[in-house]
Amino acid sequence: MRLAQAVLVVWGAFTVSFVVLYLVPGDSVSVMLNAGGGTAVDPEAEARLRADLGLDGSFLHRYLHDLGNYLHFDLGRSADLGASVGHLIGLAVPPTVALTLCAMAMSVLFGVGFAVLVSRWPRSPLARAARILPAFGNSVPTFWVALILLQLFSFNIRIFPVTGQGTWYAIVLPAVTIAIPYGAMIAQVALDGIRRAQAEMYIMTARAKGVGATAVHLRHVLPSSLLPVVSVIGVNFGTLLAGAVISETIYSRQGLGSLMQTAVLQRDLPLVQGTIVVTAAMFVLVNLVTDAAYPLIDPRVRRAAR
Amino acid sequence: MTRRARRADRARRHAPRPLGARIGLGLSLLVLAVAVVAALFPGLVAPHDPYEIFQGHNLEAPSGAHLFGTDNLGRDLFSRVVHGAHVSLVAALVALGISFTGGTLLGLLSGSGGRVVDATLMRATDLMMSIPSLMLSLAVVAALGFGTINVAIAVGVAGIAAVTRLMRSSVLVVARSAYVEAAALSGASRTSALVRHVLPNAFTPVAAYVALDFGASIIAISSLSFLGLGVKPPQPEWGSLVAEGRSFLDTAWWLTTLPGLVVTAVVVAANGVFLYFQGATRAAA
Amino acid sequence: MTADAERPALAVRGLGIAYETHHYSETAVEDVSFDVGAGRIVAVVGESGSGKTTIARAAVGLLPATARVAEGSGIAIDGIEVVGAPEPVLQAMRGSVVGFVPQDPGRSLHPLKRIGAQIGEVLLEHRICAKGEVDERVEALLTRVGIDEPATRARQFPHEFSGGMLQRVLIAIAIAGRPALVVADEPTSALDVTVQAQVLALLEEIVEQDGVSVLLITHDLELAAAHADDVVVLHDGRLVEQGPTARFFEAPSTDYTRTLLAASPKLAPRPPRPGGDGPPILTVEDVRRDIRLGGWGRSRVFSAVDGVSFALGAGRTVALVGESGAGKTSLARLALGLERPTDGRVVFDGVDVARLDRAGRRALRRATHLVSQHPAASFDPRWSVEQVIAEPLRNAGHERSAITARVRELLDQVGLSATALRKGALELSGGQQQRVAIARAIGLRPRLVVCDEPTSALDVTVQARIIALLRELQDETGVSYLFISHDLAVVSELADEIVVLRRGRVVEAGRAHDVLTAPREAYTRALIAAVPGGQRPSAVNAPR
Repeated sequence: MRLAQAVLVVWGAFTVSFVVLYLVPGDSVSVMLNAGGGTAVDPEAEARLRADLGLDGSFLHRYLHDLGNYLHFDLGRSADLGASVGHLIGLAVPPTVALTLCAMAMSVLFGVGFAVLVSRWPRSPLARAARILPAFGNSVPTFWVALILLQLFSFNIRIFPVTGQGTWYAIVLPAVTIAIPYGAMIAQVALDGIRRAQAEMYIMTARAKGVGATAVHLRHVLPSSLLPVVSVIGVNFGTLLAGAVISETIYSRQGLGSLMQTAVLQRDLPLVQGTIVVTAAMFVLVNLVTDAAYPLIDPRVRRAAR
Repeated sequence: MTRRARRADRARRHAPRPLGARIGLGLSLLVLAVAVVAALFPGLVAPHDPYEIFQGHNLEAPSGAHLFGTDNLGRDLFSRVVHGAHVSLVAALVALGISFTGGTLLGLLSGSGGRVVDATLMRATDLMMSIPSLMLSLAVVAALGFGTINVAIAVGVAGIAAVTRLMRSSVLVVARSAYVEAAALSGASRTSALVRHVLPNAFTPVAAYVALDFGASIIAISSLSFLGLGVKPPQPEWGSLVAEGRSFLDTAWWLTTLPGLVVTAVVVAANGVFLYFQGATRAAA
Repeated sequence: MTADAERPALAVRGLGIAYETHHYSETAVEDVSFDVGAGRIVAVVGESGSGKTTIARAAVGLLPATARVAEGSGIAIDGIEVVGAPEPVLQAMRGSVVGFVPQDPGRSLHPLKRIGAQIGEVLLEHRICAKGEVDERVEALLTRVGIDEPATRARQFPHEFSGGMLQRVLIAIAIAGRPALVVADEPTSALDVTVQAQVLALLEEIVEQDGVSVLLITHDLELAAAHADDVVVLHDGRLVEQGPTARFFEAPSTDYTRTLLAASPKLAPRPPRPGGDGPPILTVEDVRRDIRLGGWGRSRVFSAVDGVSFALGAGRTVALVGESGAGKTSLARLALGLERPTDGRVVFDGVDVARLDRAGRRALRRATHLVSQHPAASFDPRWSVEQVIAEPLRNAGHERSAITARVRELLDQVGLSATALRKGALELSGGQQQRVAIARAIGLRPRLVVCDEPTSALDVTVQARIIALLRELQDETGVSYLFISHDLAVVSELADEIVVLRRGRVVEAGRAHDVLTAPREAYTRALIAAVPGGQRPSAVNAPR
């Protein structure tokens, strides 16, 4: 059931991007020809090129043609770079996956950790001050943070390399950059989840059993508060991907993000469409995983064996 | 509610908010006020013309003469930032307007229309949300072309889905509440109940989200401008100013740091207002 | 570790507790002193705001952070002082010297942990037995509290248990450490009457067999009378009266106690009223209402109401009585035309409700209304009292000036002062809110008002007043009531006819007097028997 919905969403992403890009005046052919230097072109050659690429024909015709190709994993040819879109994306996906996974790990670790610590002693002045920090995390533009970090750690202090790839620790700065807003959001959701869990009646029961405050916090409050965190990890995965666009650009990393940016700048429509569909697929995959995690955590959601 | 709980609630509601929160609100409102004035009357706030070139004063660090220093062409950065406020904030408002009008209407429709309408709209928003908003905006910009207005439209359109979701869940809760049913029992027609009960009560959480989304829109717009999709140089805009300074990262730190700082400050202020009102409705610990 | 015969399980001396925040300070308990002897059950009885819950939480050292215990207060459990004790001491005591049974079993157990683990936690925390023995002990405890198949049940999660069983689990948790004292905070108020009786019987059994003492917190005086050895009455944080139960009920010595006793509804039916011969205004004919459950191809149909018939005469009250799941609320909604029966007819004033056209539905709306259990939920949170009461009048198209006059008239009728008009509807007390709901309901002079558990959420004294108000209104206006309740005692004060429901079916029906004094069915008898104090003769002279 979920799987069917997932497929539907990816198909939908394809359709939406197709429709949106269809509105673009001019098409890949004009882009390709322009890329060649903008010299005068033989209209016959142009028409033949169009026919080759299937760019003549009605909306429906082109739509079905492209859809058919996609189902065969043929994502078209990049108008600007000439290579197969599938190939380009194939090269770009692994570094982006590495980046987002790394960032996700950092965010969850620090976001949840922060929330657990701050909520263990809710009345301490430190905790009260710290509670507004996540709001800051959400307020800083990623591109600015990236540049500041780059300046500080790569130019001034020289710990990390300037280009975000090559060595394994080159991934750190780019990952930290996009982890900040994502982690801030996780911290806020976790804080809220913990606050709600702390107010539940079963926490009082646990204390009345003689279990200590810290033990109650870790063993009783925390598991209950994880549910909203899990769901928000999946739903807001888009923030990580969006951050990847900027992070990869600034740190000169190869990946889906920088690929898309180049594609948009060059009006390379097949490439834009390809990246959108693949991105949607990644997002859907992550959500399938988080949805599957739910019954594992919450016994009420499991299908009752009758 | 027990008598004690009611008394406590009343005391809390009428009590002045803690000093820290009030200072925070004051600062936030101040920053926002300055930003708004700068946006509306840039000529008043900026000491110089943003395009004026000061010969021989390239890449000067911040000083008395040039508060934010100068860029590589010798232009006063502070003036450029002030004029950039106009562009960024107006664009953010346009985006906000699109997101909220679209989102509220669709959310109301989805929450109060039949099951088919709701299901269709929900699938549509699921779809929109499965594409990261930045990428969706990029696609829209790719379609419409570059320029600030298009960027604003792109960001606005990308934001509709979230507002729809929020409004819809709010409407669902309110529409099924006991007081809406009591209204029906008291003879209210469906439209009357919708307008007099559902809309005002469902809109409150959405209204709070406006402040939050304002900040997010500013960031999204400046991000797209940073990527080169917004204004055409030499027109100033916060994001593109940071982009311009990128090549001089190690030599002229003020070119990237200061405009970005301004963006952060305004967004923090907007979020601060949001948090204040959110805290006012929530129980104080 | 049970208390020895001389030392009381609980000794409270001069207890004073106040809640303080930046904004206000409020005294919750003032100078309260009483004992709970070894092996005795002492009931602390009071209405909301009396301080009884505060005392319960103070006994286990779990007061909220805003609470301040006054100087010179003392709470000693089995000789160990709780006030001012350091946290490690309190922690060691909780669960092993003093056990706690909370209210609302549905929310007092961790939804993500297995029942066995939650019970076992007490044993492990206080090292009562070795790790390997825990499972065995847990199963023994489950059996002790009357839960079958303990091995299977221990592996299950709270959502797989019924309310009564969850309460038994909570009792198991409370006694696992063999405490000297068990503090039970309203342990049965969220349960059905028959289940309530069973749970209390279990507690009594445990007291008798293990010698544990129980501090029973309750708002229900009759319950205290039926199950406690001694009674302590609290009012506004002060101790009003205390003593052995028997003497207490025969000769109460303070006014407040007398008021409380008088207000507690007794199971004494009102004498049958003349009238009710004319055509009934509401007839329910062999009505069935099916509800579809589940989704994704696996759907089950279950009948909330199955083959129910009864008639309501003009100016009369028919009471629908039953426990949860009986179908009472479904019938209320069917009677109001909010839902359609799957089978059978609902006839109002001679017309089938399901066949009404637009004008007919409008007329139905004007002729009927509802007073529900939680009036606050039925008010728009942003509206004032005046707006709430005026709504039906506005929708009926009445003129502004006429509406204002009528609203004042209604306020007067329900006993509210005009100062309430401007206030936000949610700012009033529970009893006042219910009066507002009643004023709204009778605004258009309806023929039928459905009352769905209108007093279940109110204090006893307030409850008595609301019932009196309802009776008065019926005498004045001749309105008919469809009165729904699980509480037979409350029903007995209003009903002309009673329909007893169980799982959607009619078990017994007839004149109130007959049903209550000479019930024919076993289930009806069980319901009557389960009412605390139901079997006591009304020797207490409650002026009616």
